[in-house]
Amino acid sequence: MTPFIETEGLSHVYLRGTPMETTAVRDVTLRIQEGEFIALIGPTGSGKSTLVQHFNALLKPTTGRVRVGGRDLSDPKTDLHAIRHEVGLLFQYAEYQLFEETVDRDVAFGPRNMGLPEAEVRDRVRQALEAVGLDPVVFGPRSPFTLSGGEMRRVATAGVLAMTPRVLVLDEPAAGLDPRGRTDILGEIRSLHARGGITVVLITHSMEEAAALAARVVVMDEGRIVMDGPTREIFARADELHAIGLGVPAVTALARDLRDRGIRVRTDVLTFEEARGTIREALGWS
Amino acid sequence: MPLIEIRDLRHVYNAGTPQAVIALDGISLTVEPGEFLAVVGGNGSGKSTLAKHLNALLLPTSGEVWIDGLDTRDRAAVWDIRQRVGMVFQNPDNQLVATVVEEDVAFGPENLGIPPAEIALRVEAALGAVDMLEYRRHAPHLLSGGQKQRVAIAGVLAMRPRCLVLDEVTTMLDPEGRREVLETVRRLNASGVTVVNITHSMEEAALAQRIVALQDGRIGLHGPPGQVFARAEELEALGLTLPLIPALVRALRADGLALGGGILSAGELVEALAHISAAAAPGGGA
Repeated sequence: MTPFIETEGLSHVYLRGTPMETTAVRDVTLRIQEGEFIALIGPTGSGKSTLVQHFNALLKPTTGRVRVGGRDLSDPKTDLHAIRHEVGLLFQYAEYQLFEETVDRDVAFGPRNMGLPEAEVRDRVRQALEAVGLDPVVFGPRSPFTLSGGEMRRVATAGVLAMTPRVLVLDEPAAGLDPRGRTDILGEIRSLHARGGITVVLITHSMEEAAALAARVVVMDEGRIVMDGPTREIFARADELHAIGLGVPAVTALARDLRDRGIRVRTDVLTFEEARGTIREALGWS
Repeated sequence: MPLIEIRDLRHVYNAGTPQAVIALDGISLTVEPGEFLAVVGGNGSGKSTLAKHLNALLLPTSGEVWIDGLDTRDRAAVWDIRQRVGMVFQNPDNQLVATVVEEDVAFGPENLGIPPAEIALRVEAALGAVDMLEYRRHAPHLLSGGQKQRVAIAGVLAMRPRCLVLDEVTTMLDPEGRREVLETVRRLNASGVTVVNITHSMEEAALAQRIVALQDGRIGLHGPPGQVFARAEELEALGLTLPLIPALVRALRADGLALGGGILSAGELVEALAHISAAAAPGGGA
């Protein structure tokens, strides 16, 4: 199957030829199939945000190439507007990018700019708000600035969804939210993906989020991809992850500690329920 | 004498206008010197408003806040209060002002008009306390997120405060940065600095001696972590969740495992399960 997003030998150098020159992404080759749910993890400054901005041509490679749906983004004939509709990017702290007087108008901004008929725009706004768990009738007419942080974050997400992208790239969508806001927004992302069709790339500092949501984990360090594989296999490599300042989910660490104390639990657990189950079994309570 | 004494504090934003919002509604709280207090609560519960009362960035609509025997409403005491209570905020990039680390740390004491020889001593001690002495001549913007937050803490320490108020200081950090900052805070508290940590992370709250959970500007739950986490339903009603280990203990007890209450850390849970496992093993016995 041809991948939907494909980077080949992608490097990105900021401020090239100046004393401030920094290589943010180094020789990255990555293939993302349609429908995948990928977590992209790495320490601060490892190049995650720079890399994903190439997926919809917000940044151009210094060297290497990027293809989206078979189209080469450095080809002058490629329609970058179309690409940006297909690959939606939600930046960190996206609530600071809300600017319209009402939630409706804010979510409608993208589709309206696409020149869609007004009825279609209204349809998309309603669907996008419903998809992020906000009642369009209640929230549509409100000013975004009267909402809680979690609600504002969801409005920003709806703004991206209203473009009906095929790929959704989310940069720390739950950062700074309270526990309920976190659970809510992550639940919405999970069910969006589960409903089918949409490809998700989630950038996160939380190993728990990566473990709970993604089927595949891509690990970056110093601009390179240093690990890439199924979630369970990646989090079995605790020592390598610790060496670059990351870690494993707390449940995985707990299972390893139990194993070290002679309790025969599985050490590849990724979620709360898996940990609960294996402890119960190991102690003969199953 | 308590270091912080809050008596029936109310704070109303836009008081007397149709946009009036009651942010704090009758808070009474004392913090003794050397304590480590965590303040948790959902978005909009009043956490940050409370923090701003601790160094007279906000003044009570009614009620009183006393810091080390000084009334925050006393204008003449404001600078003494701000020297005693230092605040560190969420975004590491918004708090550093100078181009060299040690100049940044010296900024506060310089503004107090302290003699240069004394400033040099304070800067050295403060950078030593956060384990950043070897970076004293580095440029702040080239540091990692965790290092930047430690420099921000050093800048506050150089004022020789009695209390550190931390407002979501680990939210934007990667796992390693979070570990570094929390370890630094724990060490400072052990050396006698009072800490008030405002956080969305229940895992961080578990590290404090005492937790105050706010809801709608009032204190919803208050007590040592063991007591607060024993009241899971009430926590959930406040929009909060149990940290992983207490949540797992609760689930395993529901499954019939004879785990005692008061288990807060992974280490304690591993020991308790090892004990059960040894007792259940053939030929074993407790």
